[in-house]
Amino acid sequence: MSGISDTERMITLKTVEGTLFDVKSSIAKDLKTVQAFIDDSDDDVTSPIPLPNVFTRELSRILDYLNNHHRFRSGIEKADEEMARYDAEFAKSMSHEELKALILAANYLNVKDLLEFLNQTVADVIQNKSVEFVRNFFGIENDYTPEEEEKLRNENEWAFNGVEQD
Amino acid sequence: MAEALFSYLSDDILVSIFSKLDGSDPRHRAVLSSVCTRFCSLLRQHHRLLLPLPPSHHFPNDSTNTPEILLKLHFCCPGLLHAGVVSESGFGSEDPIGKRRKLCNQKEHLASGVWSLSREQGSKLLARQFRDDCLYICDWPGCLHLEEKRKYRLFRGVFVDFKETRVWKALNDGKNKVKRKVDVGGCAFCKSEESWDLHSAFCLRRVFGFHDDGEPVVRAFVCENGHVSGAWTDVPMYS
Repeated sequence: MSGISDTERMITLKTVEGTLFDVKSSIAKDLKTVQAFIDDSDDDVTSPIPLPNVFTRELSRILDYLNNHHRFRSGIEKADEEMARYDAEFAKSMSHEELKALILAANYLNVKDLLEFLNQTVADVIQNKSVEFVRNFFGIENDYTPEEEEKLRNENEWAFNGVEQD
Repeated sequence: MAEALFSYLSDDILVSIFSKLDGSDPRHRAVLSSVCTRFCSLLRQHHRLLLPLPPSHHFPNDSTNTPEILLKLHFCCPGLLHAGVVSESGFGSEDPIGKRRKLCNQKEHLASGVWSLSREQGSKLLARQFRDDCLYICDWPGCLHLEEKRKYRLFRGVFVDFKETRVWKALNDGKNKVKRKVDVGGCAFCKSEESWDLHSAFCLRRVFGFHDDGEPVVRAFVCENGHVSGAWTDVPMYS
């Protein structure tokens, strides 16, 4: 596989802070927004591609994720186990703020697999949590009136009553 | 900063996150819909994606089968009152210690048993001449209630296009129309006040008989919107 010019081509990306990242074109393919930009350009892209919505911290994490996943996939044994372990560590290493920021970046760059994984991670975080917790996590202001909240509480009450046996 | 992030999260991302929650537990939906109006509206819009509906059927999205009602039909046991096992006057146990606990079994609560509805179960309930009517009932064993006299397995379900069914025609057949209406404290699902007794209207299979004390082996009540509440009991060993 080595020696084919396509896999050696490097793309340069520039974050909001002006940091430059050199990325292999095989990795860049997973950043579908970037790939679309490359495909739309008539000539070879030589100057850095600006990413006005992406910060250095997020791009660094995304590239780390993609590089590792590519590495696991090209390995022969135990790829699933290693990937699961890596993914678990990756999720744990971030605060809730960092997780949310990463989702926004992954969404902008259209990195499908990573986005699926991050959305699942958020689902795991908010599962079984209270209304207050979910509001804090997403930074949501309650926009229900007290009357509306009372109505919802009454309508949903049944879900929190289980049948009791003697 | 946190508030800004929420406004940047697109509906697609939020729906994707919701769809990855354990969809089998309705309490998650109850919590999420209480978070804010945007979550509530997204959950309503995409409820078909998030609900374990059987693939073969299609409920018309009308006021008698809103997302909330469909959700309730899947997960909510109507309770002993709405299933016609106890009457409103008989509400509450004699035993003061047991009184509060018994009360919660008599109103709506999270159903035990299986949280899916099936047409097969519905057709097992109906008398032969009504088999073309499409009735979905929750799967066996329903929500188990151990009462003094016997075990009741409460079930719930819904007719598709109820006003077009033969059952509806039979219930509204001229001379018997008023007699078959009963009071089970209203429909557990849509709060409609009118209910009909399917057993005494001969809509259920003839083979379901009676216990020695006169209680029917199977009872079922339907409201004017086609929502069904009822109870199976164990068939007596000796008739």
